[in-house]
Amino acid sequence: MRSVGERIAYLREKRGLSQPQLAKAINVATSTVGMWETGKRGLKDDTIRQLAHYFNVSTDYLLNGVESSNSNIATPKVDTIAAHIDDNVTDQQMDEILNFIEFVKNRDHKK
Amino acid sequence: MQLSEELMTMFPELTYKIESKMPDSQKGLLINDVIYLNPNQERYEMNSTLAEELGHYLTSYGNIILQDTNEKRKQERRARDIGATLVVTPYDIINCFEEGCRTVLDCAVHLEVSEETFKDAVKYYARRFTGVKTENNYTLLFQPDGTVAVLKSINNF
Repeated sequence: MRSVGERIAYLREKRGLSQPQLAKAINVATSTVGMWETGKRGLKDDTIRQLAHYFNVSTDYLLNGVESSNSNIATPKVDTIAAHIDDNVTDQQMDEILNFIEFVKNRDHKK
Repeated sequence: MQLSEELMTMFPELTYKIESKMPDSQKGLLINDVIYLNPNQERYEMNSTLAEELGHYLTSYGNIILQDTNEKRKQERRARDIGATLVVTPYDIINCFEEGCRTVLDCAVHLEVSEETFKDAVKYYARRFTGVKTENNYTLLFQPDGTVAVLKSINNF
């Protein structure tokens, strides 16, 4: 698994930014960005949040490189989806629910 | 105004949709900033469902439909608790007391929420506080089993 620093570098390069450009955008010294990326310096919680916000990814992705089991790194932004489902639903009922959710997602939340 | 309408006006940034095609075993759904509700449920149940989905809106992250990890189950628990506190505030509990409610069911009926929701709120308060004393001489003692004692003192002590 790649490190937090490597993910920062990856996101930065994907945006076509240089280290000084990123440093300026989040108001830190260029050398700081360099040390993050090479793992020579750790990140504060607030900085992780700030970077996640800046790159439009979750802090989870930044820290662990994964969002959830069924999304990939190319589209780090995830939806929030939660349902109120009766206790003890059968597998068949659960399938119905998952189909319904998929239907609503496609109808209302097409990217 | 009905409770469900009050809740919706508390969160005007969200969209609310009634979905008659929602499967019977599902009562509500949140996708980002849209809440979907199954119209085939009792009013009190609808209030609890809506409160829970608002709890998800306030606290959840990611797709947590499949409750297959502890982290997702924690998110679910948190959403239910926070949702419950939206519809069962300490002042609501005092109101139940003043209205003469004696049981959890009485309180749930009075507040138009499910018994489960009432208990969830009290249990949540019980985890955080032993009791709450209000400025107007009420003391609420929250119990871990979801029941609550309300004391009203005549003197200010």
